[in-house]
Amino acid sequence: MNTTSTQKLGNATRSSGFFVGLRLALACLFVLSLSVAAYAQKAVSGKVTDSGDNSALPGVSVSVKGTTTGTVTGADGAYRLNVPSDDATLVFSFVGYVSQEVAVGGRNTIDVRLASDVQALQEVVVVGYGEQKKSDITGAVAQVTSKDFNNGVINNPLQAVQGRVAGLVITTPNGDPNQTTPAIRLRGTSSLAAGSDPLIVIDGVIGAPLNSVAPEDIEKFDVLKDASAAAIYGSRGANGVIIITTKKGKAGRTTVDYNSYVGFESVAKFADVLTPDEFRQRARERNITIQDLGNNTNWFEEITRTAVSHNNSLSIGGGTDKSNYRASITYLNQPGVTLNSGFDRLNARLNVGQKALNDKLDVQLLVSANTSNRKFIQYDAFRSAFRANPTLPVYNEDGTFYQPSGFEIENPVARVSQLTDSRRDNQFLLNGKLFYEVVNGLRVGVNGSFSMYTENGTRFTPSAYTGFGNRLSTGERYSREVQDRLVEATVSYNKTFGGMHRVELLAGYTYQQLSNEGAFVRNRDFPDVFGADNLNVGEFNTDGTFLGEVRSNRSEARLDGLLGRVSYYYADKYLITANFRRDGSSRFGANNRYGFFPSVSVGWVISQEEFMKGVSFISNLKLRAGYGVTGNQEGIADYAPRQLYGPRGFFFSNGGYRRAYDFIQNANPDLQWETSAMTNVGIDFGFLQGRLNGSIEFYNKDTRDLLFNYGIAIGATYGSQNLTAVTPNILANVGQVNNRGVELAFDYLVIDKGDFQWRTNLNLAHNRNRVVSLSNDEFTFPADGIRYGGFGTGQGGLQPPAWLQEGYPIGQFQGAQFIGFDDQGRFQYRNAQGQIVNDASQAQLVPIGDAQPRLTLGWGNSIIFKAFDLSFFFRGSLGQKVANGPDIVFGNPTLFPNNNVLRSAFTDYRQITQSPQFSSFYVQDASFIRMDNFSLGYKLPFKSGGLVRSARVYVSGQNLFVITPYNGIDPELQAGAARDVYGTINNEQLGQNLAPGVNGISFYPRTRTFVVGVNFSF
Amino acid sequence: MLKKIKITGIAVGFLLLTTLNSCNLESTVFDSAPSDQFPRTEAELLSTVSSAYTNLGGYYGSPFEINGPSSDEIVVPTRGPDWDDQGSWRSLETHTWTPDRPGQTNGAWEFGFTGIVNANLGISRINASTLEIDGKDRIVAELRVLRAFYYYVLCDLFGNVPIITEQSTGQNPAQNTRTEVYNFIVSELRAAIPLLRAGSGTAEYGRMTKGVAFTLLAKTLLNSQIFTGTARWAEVIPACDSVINSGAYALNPDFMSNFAVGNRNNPNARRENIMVVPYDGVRQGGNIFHMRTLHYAQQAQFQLASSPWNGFCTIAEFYNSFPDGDARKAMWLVGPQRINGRVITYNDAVTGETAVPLDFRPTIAALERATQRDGVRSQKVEIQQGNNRTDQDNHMPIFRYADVLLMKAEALFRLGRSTEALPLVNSVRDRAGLPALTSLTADELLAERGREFAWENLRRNDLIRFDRFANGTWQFKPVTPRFRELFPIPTQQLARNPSLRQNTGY
Repeated sequence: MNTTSTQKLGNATRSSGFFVGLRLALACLFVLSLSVAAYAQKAVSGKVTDSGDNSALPGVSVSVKGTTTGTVTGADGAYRLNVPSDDATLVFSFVGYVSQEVAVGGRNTIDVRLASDVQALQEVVVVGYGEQKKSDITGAVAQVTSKDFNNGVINNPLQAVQGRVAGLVITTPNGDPNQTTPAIRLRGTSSLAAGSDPLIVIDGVIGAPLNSVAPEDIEKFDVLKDASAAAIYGSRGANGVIIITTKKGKAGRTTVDYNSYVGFESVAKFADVLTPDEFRQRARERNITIQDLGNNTNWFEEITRTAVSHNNSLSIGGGTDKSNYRASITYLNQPGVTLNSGFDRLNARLNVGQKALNDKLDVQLLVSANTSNRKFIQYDAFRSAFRANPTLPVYNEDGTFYQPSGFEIENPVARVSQLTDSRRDNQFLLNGKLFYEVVNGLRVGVNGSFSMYTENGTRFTPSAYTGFGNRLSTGERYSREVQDRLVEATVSYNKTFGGMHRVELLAGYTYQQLSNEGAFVRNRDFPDVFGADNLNVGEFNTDGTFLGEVRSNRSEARLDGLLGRVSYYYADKYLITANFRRDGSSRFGANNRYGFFPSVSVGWVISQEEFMKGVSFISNLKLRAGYGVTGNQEGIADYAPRQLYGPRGFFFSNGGYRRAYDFIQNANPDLQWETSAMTNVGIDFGFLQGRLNGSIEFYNKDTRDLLFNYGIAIGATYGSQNLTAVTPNILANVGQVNNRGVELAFDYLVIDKGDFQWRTNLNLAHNRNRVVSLSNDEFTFPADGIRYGGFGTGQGGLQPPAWLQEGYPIGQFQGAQFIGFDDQGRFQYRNAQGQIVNDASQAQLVPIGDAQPRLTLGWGNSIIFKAFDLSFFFRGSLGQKVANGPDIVFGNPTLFPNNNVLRSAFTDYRQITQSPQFSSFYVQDASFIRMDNFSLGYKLPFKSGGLVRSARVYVSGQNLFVITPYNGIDPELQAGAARDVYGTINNEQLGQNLAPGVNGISFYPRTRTFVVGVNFSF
Repeated sequence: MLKKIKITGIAVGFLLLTTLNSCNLESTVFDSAPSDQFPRTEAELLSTVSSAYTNLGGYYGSPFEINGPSSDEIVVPTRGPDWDDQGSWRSLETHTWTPDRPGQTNGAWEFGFTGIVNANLGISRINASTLEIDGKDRIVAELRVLRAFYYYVLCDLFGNVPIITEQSTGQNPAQNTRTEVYNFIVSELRAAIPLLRAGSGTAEYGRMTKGVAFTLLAKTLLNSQIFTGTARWAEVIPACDSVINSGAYALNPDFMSNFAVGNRNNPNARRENIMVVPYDGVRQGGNIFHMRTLHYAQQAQFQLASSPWNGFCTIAEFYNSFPDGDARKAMWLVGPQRINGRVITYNDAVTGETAVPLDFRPTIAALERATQRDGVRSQKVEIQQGNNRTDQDNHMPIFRYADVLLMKAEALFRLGRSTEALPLVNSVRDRAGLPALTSLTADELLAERGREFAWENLRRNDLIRFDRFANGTWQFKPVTPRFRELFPIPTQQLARNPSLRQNTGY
């Protein structure tokens, strides 16, 4: 059909790629052909050891200062070197250690002890396409290193830093172990239909999947919060950037680390429903006949358990000053607290680095692979557990499941036991980097990566499952593959002039190609014994052919960008950094395919000024200011700007059905980037000789040209190409969202007395989110807004509580204002005319609170006393509101006895005589402070120099308690949809993004976890 | 050393070459067909002009859900928490709907305009194509009839809607008066008719034929007084005669088999069902009458794939308008419902009673708090026992031959020619097993239409023509202002197209 044109396109593609590649290759050859050489006499020898444990340090570079003469220590730490004269000075340098210079002074033997350089490691910040010294940073950047990670059963990297960074809100909405990609929001939600998650960069791989790295393999997180920092990622930086750096092997002694823990996870809190006896008693009190089969069933307990998870991680690493390697393998098995839910994952990773050609060439190879098995349960099971009559049995006498009937009523144990839903994910990531130092300070680099993610899913409902009248077996299989190819070339040049002027220059080119494809098959009505493994045995056409449903999809996107950064530092006092990036994306129309994303930021290190030299209590004081523009194209469909034909049902002709095709979307060739402009002003400070450090940030972020599906009249002519609207919606750039806020972070070493140390850190963030506009000349947003969100029930009477409207934040609730009950137990509201009405649908709808927190905070403490270490961490969120679905539905006594209800239905809410209605009555303060993390460890005494270098045993706990005025099960809810592996956003996710803070009645409970673990280092 | 560097350089260059296989930003479209590459053959072209047909599936969606409950044939009582839907259904019963609610008014608007735009695109594609296609003119004529049908639906529901054709330009389509829309429908049909096929055989069934176009023309002319203020009763008669005299159509002796599961293969049903929505559980979803009307517990009774929703039923007055002996009364499910001879029991969420026998009773206690068994249900569209899909396979008529007979009878009656009208009415009564009438009144004619076309999307239109819609009363429905004879233009549409003016009264 369209093969010829595809081929043509392919040829054109290849030839243009060839020429670009050729140009780059020639450029590389040119710079590589520049080369250097040199000479050396008098022998000096000695041994280099670690100042900490006196162990020998192999691979230490020993060189004569001012020459190119040098050598490397051997396996025993010994070296031998010819020096030109007794005046020579030897330089001992080694990765991770403080370099030492020693004058030869006529000696023939020089032994050196090198001190490990913890400080140096901390003070380098990864800023994208390079690193900067922390003192040089002019943007808003936060760093969390592994020593500050959260403890416990951590099944995804971000859980390790949840609550640790001011302004970074990571929400794991429940205890489902399959929630391995939490919703992440940095400085508020700034997008409606496009993605709102920050860009994840793992070891330089842009958009790398979070689950490709085991939490144990992570060295540190660098969070680029403001646009002046994120602008180097241009079109992909609008939601901020989280850069993850994995652990690398350290030169010197080979280390083997083994970490293991066992976790015990249980439901933190059940819904407070009537017990069987209370159920009977309430019926007697009300003179109601109930169906009492004489059983005492706690349906919540029937579908849950204490889940025992375990995690084992083994790594080996080492190297010399020329090479380093680290290999690790981690297996996590995390069953869920709900029966038949669970997750396990095997991660393997290899990081190898090698220097060559006089250390001018640096090659790094990073390979990671993982495979996970997931078992999902349907959250509806908890709705069924809510509703089910507690006097009913779980099983019939013959051992089959007892099945009650009624609206949304079934046996939840049957649901979680009989239905299966599982998936296997495989992830493979290959990343190679090559840097060459052409002349001193000038480096060229190439970075290439290939990532492949596949999933294979199976869902099966047996005919034996009879809930909701089911009588058919249904099986589904689906598979998916996401590929991501990235290639980048960079040139950087760093130079110091005249001692005072430092310049860092960077230029680069990046190209990325992403693709997503999948297939789906479903069939029904076959013997249960086949499961979902032989779907063609099911329903068939009269001619015997397969009748099941079949679907497949495939799409791709391409991105390219030119990037640059210029930094200039004068006397370490006056700092300026400018980024620019020009990006193109195939997701946009030909007219608006490229965007330009500049930024500039300045810093003034006040503490370096002469007049501050006398102020001894201030160790660091820096003022920063930056402005930048970033873009967003995540989450939108690959082919949104194109006019495409797709299937549009079947028509009946000549006694049979034929496929009809037509336009499937309103193509928008004018589509372009969503852009965010952010201003950031920050102060870094350090007092008391650096024991108290902190920063304050103020920011204002305006996101314009919001990508969103706006309404359009079918039949209207639109856009620059005069197309006709075929559906009532079009993806277009219209609105504006503003986020502004303040962030504070403090880190205080309270006590530092040899074997007793107490460090505390606190972060506070306030963000104000507001939808500024959603209309322009062409598109008019509905005057009374659009509603989103549901309570997870098909029951009538519950309007969607969340409301998208100009002038209000995302997550605004709108509904009837409750003013009290009348003497007949009816809800009272006012209608637009001010009259009292009893039906929320007749009432005037008003804004009734929003789900945006006023303040988010994290407070961490770590105490080391001799061999003991103790840490605890509180995380909080204050001022947000929640629409309490369980109270609306199960706090309503009229549902009794067809449904079990909350105890409160007969206490606080006993007067209610109407069916459930949503109103301000159910919008509740959901502020909370949670003791999120606690850990107590003990370092076992081992002799230094032995086989075991260190050993630690610990116990830790997660979600130990929560302080909240909210009377629902848990105040912390989904704060938005998590990013799909391809970034796609479907309607359900859009609803989650635009309706945070809705507590549905179908859910998975939050858990409390206790962990016992060991860390061994050999 | 230099050699090494060279080798490295070549390696770097090679790496760049192999990885940078493309710097082209033009992504390849894989799972859809870009409009510059499709359609290319005659078969492909024909497949791109047919979505105006597939759109018919929505006729018994939103339009049905506002037509039915706003008239006396259907009531959707709120049953405890169920069917509250923020009062949408109650607003239809009591004629208090607004431009915002129920959402089905917007659904009906979009149903109409989607069909219109699909027809326009199809006409443009055929006109623009250089491919040789058999019957090009006929295909365009079919699309014009389909477009006229969608305009008929919009004219009936909303009145003043914009006329958009394949030649329209301009950002927002300008509004037309109801008379202009009426004139457009009539002129389009008259222009298309000569180019269409006649007959009701396999080749024609399901397509726009002369018979369909004349029936739609008769329907439009019959409503001329309502649509334009000028009655055109006399013009209805020749339009009906063109159908009657074509010999392609006849009354099906078995009334209920017109709606039976296998009706697509029943020659009698195909001769009566002039225009159909070719519903199919797999290929043309939307036949969900059983889901709307049956009680949850009847899933087991009929071995359905999904649990029904227990909503739509009728009021006692309407049910009682069917005399005993009327074959059409078989459409109602009334009394105790049984599985294997045992009466089904259920727990009533409204009354709190347990183990209540499922006994459908004509009386509906209250609109706001009906019990789960209140109201007689419909099985006119035969319930497909043991269906593995939620959607059913019965084709559903839009226009039937019985309507042609009764339209002609009505026109004759309005012109004072009752004697000529009577045999037509009696032929329909006779098929239902009812005795012949000897005289005709407007009320009898309306009631006959009610029994004949109950739940077929025609009742509201009939009530308006007999001035019983706003002016009439029935349970839960007082006399309401005449502006209620049109639905309001939905709020969403007013926002999207600022050139639209709201209908009077809203």
